[in-house]
Amino acid sequence: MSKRGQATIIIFLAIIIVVVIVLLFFLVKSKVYIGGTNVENLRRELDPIAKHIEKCLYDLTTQYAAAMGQQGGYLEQTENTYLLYNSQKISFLCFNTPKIIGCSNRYLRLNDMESQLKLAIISKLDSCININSFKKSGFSITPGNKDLQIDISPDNIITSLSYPIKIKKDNSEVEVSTFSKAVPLPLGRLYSAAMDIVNLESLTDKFDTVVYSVIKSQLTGKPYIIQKLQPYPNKVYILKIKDIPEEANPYVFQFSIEGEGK
Amino acid sequence: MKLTKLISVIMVYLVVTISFSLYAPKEVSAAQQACCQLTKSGNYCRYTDVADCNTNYLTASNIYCENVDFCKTGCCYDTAEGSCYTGVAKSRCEASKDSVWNPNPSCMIDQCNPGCCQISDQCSLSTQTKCRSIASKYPGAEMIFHSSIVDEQECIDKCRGIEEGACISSDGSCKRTARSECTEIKSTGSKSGFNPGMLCSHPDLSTNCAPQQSTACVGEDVYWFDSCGNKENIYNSNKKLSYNSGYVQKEDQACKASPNDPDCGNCNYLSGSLCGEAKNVNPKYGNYICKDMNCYNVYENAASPNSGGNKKHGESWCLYDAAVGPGKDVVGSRQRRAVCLNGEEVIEDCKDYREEYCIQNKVGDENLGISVLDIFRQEFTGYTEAMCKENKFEDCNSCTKQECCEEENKDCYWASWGNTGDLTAGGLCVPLVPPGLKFWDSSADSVCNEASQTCKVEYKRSGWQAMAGEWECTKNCQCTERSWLVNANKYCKAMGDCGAWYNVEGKLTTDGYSTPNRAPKGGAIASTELESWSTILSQQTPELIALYSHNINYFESQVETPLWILSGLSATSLGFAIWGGPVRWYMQPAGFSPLFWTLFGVLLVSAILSLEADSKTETYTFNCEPWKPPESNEDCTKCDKYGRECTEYLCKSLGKNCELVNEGTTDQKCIVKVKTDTASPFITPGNMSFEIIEKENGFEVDGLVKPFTPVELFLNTNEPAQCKFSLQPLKAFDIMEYDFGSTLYITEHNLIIPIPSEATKEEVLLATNGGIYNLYIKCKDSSDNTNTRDYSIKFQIDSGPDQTPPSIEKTLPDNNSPIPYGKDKFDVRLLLNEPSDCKWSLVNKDYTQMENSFICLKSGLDISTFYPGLYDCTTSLSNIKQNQMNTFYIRCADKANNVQQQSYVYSLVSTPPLQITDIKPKGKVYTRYPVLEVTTSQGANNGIAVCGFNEKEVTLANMLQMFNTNSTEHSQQLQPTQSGSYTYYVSCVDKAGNIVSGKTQFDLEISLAAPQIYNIYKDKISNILHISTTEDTECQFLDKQFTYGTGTAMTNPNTKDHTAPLGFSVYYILCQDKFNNQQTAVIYP
Repeated sequence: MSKRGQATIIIFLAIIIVVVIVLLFFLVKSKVYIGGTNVENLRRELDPIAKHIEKCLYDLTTQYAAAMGQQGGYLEQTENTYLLYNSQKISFLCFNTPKIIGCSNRYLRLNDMESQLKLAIISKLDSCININSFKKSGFSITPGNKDLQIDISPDNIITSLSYPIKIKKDNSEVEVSTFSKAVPLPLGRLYSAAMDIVNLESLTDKFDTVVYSVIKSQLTGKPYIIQKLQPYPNKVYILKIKDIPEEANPYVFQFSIEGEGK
Repeated sequence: MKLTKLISVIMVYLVVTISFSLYAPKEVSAAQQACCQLTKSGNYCRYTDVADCNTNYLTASNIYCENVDFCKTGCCYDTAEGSCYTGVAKSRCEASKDSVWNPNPSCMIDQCNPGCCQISDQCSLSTQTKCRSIASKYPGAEMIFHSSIVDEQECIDKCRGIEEGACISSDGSCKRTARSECTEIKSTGSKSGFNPGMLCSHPDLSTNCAPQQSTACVGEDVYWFDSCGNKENIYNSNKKLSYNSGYVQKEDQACKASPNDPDCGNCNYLSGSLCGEAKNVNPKYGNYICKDMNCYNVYENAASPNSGGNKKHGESWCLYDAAVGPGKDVVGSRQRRAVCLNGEEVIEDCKDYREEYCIQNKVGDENLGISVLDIFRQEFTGYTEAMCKENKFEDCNSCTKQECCEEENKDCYWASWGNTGDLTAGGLCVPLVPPGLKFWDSSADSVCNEASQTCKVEYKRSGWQAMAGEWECTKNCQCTERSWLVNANKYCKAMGDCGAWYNVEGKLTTDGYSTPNRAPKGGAIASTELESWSTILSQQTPELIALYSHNINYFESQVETPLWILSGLSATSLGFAIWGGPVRWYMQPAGFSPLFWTLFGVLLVSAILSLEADSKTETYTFNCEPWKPPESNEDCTKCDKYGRECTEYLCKSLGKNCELVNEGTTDQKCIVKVKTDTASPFITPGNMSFEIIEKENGFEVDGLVKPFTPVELFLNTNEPAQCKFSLQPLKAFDIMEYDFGSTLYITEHNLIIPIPSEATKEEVLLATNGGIYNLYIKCKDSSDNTNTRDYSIKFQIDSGPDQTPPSIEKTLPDNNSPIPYGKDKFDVRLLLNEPSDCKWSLVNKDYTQMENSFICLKSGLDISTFYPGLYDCTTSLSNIKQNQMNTFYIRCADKANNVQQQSYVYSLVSTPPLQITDIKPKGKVYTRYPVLEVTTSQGANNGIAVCGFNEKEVTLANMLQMFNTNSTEHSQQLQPTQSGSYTYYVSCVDKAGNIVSGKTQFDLEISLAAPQIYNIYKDKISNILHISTTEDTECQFLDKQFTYGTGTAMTNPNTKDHTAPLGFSVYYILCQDKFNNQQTAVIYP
């Protein structure tokens, strides 16, 4: 064989190797081991599992985010840290400082809320996800360990579950490793407004809901509704974004400020 | 002596002991409080019981946390998020990861300085670290931090000014982006790359994006979107104007929308409009409009002059319960602020006990020079703003001069109507809005007592008066008058909830003062001496009208009327009358000479005058005391009237025995608590779903209770009460084990007792005398009266074998539901009343012979999450025959093996496939705006379906829904930009889930060039105007401007030559070709 012919073969092989590497690169997320049987069929088996897991993520996130909003950013509340108002335990985000103007900021951070949501959701995931119900004869489903990531953005809560699941039949195997779901709840947006309120209350004891709502609505194009109630001697702030389209039960973030009575 | 000494020693011992014992509890009490660095419950820096402090952390006894170094409040900076939090306790901050504490309380530190964070084309105000933190979540996005921009509006405007355009990729797809976002390289001869100022649908770009396909909200405005999902220009129903020839249109060049404008989407939030989904208005295109954010027909009451009517977005006004002002606020009242916010009327309570009051003013008229009282009563025209303001009344009493009283930092009022005795000060300084007091406890005594008054009235009498037995008042004579009493009360109630006054329900009590020594005649203050309730309720009291209208003091004019002078004059007149009248008449008949009478008179007068003059002082006292609530309890339940929040203050003002219970719960209510009440709650059975046999003090359930059937018991009490029960009789209320449903004070009590299957077990039946259960109930009212006798409820479990088969309560999907064509299996779910096993078959047969099983939950504890009390069974029904009703027979057996003897007949209707019978357009199409039309038939509902479309073959979920759909006829106007071959894919779905897809292909010929009018002449003989066009057109004319379709048609449509009769001085001509391109001409023949 001539040198030119050898070079051609080497180049040809090199191209094949590159193509294979590129293919593998694109299949990192959903690894496909091409075996003897139909991989596409296996992939199809994964679809309902993925939908089931994503539904679990959506339902649990919705449930706990609603509770978090109702309870002022805390899912678990200890004694003397909340106000019982309309049978709802509403967390104090600022504690009374006797005889002094202002209050002591409880320092609720966004990542504290993310951590709480993560713990609550992951504790319920096992009972929600039922992989066994998808088992069929001839198929083997092998789930791995779960790791959950929560990201609260202004208008969405994004849950990403790392949960490798392998489906195997004969010599074919398909794996999916991450599931994610964005739940459209304005927790992050309302938390941010709540912190603006708490920061001002902690310094001055005062906050004008109208001026803030109007300015914030104008700047963001989101119709903020902020209501201040004053169950003596405390304050309760109820924050929501007026839904477009309007819903019967819009998402609410409410918290309280501890006050000093007579 | 020794005895005396002994007694003395004992006395000294007792005194010392008692003194210490009196002091000691206070010391103990004080020592119990401490500032805990960390409490046992995990909270930092709480001033609480020392026992709550975590002993592994620091504790500062009897010192508020603000005064302890480790709990000082300052700025806490989260280095990871880049956020700053003010007023955070040092220990709290330092306990958190990535947090740094700084003593600057308001976070005026470098790390917290905000700037404008620009990430790609998005701008927001944040710290630099936070900006980086956000940007890190978007790899590849460009981040710029503008530290010089600290104003949020300026920051947002910064991004609004970013140059945008169409970013075209090498594959021809287009995205509207900022220049910095477009990474495509612009190459010569190619359209790929960034095309500044152009929309993706611009004809020159030859993209597949059709313009103005849908509308949606972006910020506050409504925008058009193209078929590729790119934002276009602000919505205008005049598409041409909005399209701006395919170029980006600036906001100030767009139309101006009014609220609910169907034609324009350039909303103005500050004017009360914001983009939102249209509800009662039909926009010409799409579903979004500039929604009206104003409020209409808001709540109105007579005491609030600015309530009612229509309000603008952002407008706020005050709501009052009744009259407001010095001495006018009724007991229990609370001021409120109402706000119109984004179309909603939001009502905010000012702080209770009138620690805040509501003031309002017209915007732009902040300095009208009106008196402070005007703000409560004046009706403003125009845009008003209101606020709850802290009531700074504490220092009013200390002011003795008007200047002091009217200082800006005080909420006081200089009242000229106080009775100061000598009136040298000319008035008294009282709270502008009387504070609410806890009139029911001793804390109110001292506040009211400040307004107590003592007036020493001096009298003297001369000889004449002594003889007549009369005294002449010489000093402070006004104190003997009723007006003194009434004014003393005015001053008294101006201090707070003191004296004689009304409560919020208009009940007047007059026990809030006493006159222990001497008082003006006439007894207690009568209701007629005070303003009527109707005038108080409407803020129309004469005093207030006078105050507001003339700025003079109504009371002052009354009080200063010198009545005592008038009465003195009257007395003198009477003296003369007596002398000249009856005396002379009486003496005349004696028969003495006039000289005698003269001498006698002189001697008598001399004798009287020689009598010694006398004087005395009388003390009039007005003791101002806390207001007393009415004896009647009838108003207690009115506490939450009109939806107002029932608070302790309001509740207690409504009646002497009104008391707030269930505080903090949805059952918070004001009830009657009679301290002398010794009667315990009276229990009666409520409405139950089964028969009962009433006994002397209880009842018995008639019949046997089935296991697995929860027993729901209802009891009523004649007054709000807490109820508990025990399984053993004669237990005291406090040691009863179980709450009867709720721990709240309520009158209707409800308890659900689940009866588990274990209740029928032999050993349980033995222990319960054959399954007989007795519940012994006691209730306690709010006066702590508890039942001494048990109220008993008796029921018996059906101890015989369970012979009742299970019952199917619900199916999912419902029986007879349609299902899509082509499915030979379908998942269904049964919900049963007890845990069971179920089977199904295609023919009606015995349970044991049925071939197919459901998967059922086994335990009695596995109750369905979504259908409480029911138990799940699921399966996949198979052998479904197409296009017909499929019937399945289901039978279930419970855990006691009770089998249903009749099958549950369950049907699923397999529907015929949904069909697309026609898709248009097809073949050659010559129109500027072709319409995609789809016709559907058959399926679950004779072809009624929802359809979507796309230029690519995608799933229905990824298609755009057609503009007119949910019918058998579906249509969508297309807006291709150039001639060519087009393929559109369509998918439709019906109620059963049948999905059908189709496509159409057509060759479009369009011309963007308007026809030219090139030959115009008039035929004077025939009196006809001729025109010629460069292509076949239809033309119309009028003598004024018009839109195509409204003019008069010229001759020869669809040709190049057209005529019109002459007669007008000017001709406006519009010609349109088959592509709807138009050309205009103005001709002066």
